[in-house]
Amino acid sequence: MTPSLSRRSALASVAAVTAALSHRLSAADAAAKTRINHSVCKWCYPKIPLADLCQAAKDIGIVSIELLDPPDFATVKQHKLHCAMVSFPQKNGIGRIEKAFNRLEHHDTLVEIYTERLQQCADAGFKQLICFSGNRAGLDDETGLKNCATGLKRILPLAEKHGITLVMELLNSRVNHKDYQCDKSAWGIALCKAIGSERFKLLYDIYHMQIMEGDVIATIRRDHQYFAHYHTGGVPGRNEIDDTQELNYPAIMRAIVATGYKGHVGQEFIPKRPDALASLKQGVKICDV
Amino acid sequence: MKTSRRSALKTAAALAGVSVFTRSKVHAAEGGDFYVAKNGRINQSLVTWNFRPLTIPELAKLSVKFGVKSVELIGPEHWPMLKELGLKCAIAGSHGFAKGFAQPEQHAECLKVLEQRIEQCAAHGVPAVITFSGFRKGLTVDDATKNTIVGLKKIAPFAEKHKVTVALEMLNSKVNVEMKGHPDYFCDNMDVSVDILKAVGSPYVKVLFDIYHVQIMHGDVIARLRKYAPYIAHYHTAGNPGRNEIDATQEINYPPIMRAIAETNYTGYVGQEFIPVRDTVKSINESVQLCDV
Repeated sequence: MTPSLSRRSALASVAAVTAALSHRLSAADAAAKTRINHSVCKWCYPKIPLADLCQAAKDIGIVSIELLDPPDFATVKQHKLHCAMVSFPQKNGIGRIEKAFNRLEHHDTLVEIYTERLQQCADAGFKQLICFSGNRAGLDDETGLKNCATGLKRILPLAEKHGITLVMELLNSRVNHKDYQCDKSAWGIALCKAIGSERFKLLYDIYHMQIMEGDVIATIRRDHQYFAHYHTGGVPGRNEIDDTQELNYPAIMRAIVATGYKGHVGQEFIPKRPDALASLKQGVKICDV
Repeated sequence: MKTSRRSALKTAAALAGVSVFTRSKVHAAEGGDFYVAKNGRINQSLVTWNFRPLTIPELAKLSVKFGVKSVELIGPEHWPMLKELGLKCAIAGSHGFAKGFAQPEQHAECLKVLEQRIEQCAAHGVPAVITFSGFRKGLTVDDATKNTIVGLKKIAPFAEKHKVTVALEMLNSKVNVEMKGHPDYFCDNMDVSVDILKAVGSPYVKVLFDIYHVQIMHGDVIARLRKYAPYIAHYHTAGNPGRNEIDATQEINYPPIMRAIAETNYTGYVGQEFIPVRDTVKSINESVQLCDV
């Protein structure tokens, strides 16, 4: 081995190490710790084209853009991003938050549109699909639960076949979604038990549940086996999740990690400050525990 | 030197938009560096049972040191000592939480304790006295509500005459751990509590808004305290879950809650009522800083 060669190879390996290190550092700076898989809801950024949101998300360390309809799947895939929660299908208003599984008369339509949407999810390789209870409109909670179970059981065999989880969102009925039936975690958990499938779970939206019931960490510790997904939002106001609002998100994220959760946390706050992406970056940083 | 470095750090941290708290160490032990409340937007107070084995005189001295203005839920025997140190007692103790106005047969006993305590408060400039609903013991919410209204109406004229506020405490009935929750306590709902106050209709009968208990039973803390501000006589703090330190180890973000309280033009006190699991003195000091918005 000649001295010059050895020096060349030494330099080369130093360069390689440096390159690898700098790559890793910038990745660490962007994505950081990976104890939380970060996702973002598209609808909170209506002024940003999806392709731009994808690029910004990647720069921030977000690995999923969620609540997407099938026409958006290709764009996120081009950016090598995931969709941790697919948006709901709808037909004649059925499938939406207000009109869904708690009414028997909606079930035929729901089976039809969820069958199609499940196939679209399966084709894209996306594993979770959102669904709703619908509003009470005078229906008592027991009947609403029974009806939801009846309707969901009709599509669960297909969901199970594809390995896709149907995830019913818990929403607040005090501020944003008056009269929505799936507004308490206890009701949602009772529905999970009535259905008894690993392919049906709940979306524990931290913002909505703080408004409805509080006691966030204790609830997550106790009931996390029923929660397939989490959303964020500042309380009150559903804006930035920082020191302008009442929830201590890092502590909540640590509690989620401690449950062994392997899914995603979707940022679903509505940025109040003019630089929406700066707010998104801040939200991810706050949750990156 | 130390002070100027601290304040420089604090300014830099404030400019950077980060909490100074996670960056600077507070050595609250004897002679060390510690935080003194200075903003004056929130009048702070220390509850005492939760900071044992520290004694009431020791807590009074710490209050002076940390810029806390009151030591609370203590009886008249301690008030001269507070006065000597320039401290207030923001709210006096009375009967315990196991008895109260939900049960008619307990009215006489509670009224007797409260009347005596109200006279003492009036004589010593103590602005408020605590009271409780007691347990439900199988009563319906309606019956317990009616009983509580009847009982509080009996004390209201006496409170008004002496200009001392009777503060009904809402407690959580969910957590079945001693002194962290009170299963079967009747007044476990802020909405029901305020309905009771409305029915009593006295400016001297209000509610004690314990942020920890409200977070366990309801959540939506800031919206609630804004909505119910005219009915709130006093606030308590503690971390949730656990009723321990109120810092970033738990889910309630206290500084914005304190700012929201200040924005309601609240002129009363906020009592620190957490049970420290770390160094007690240091935790008290850190909490004073967190709430000094």
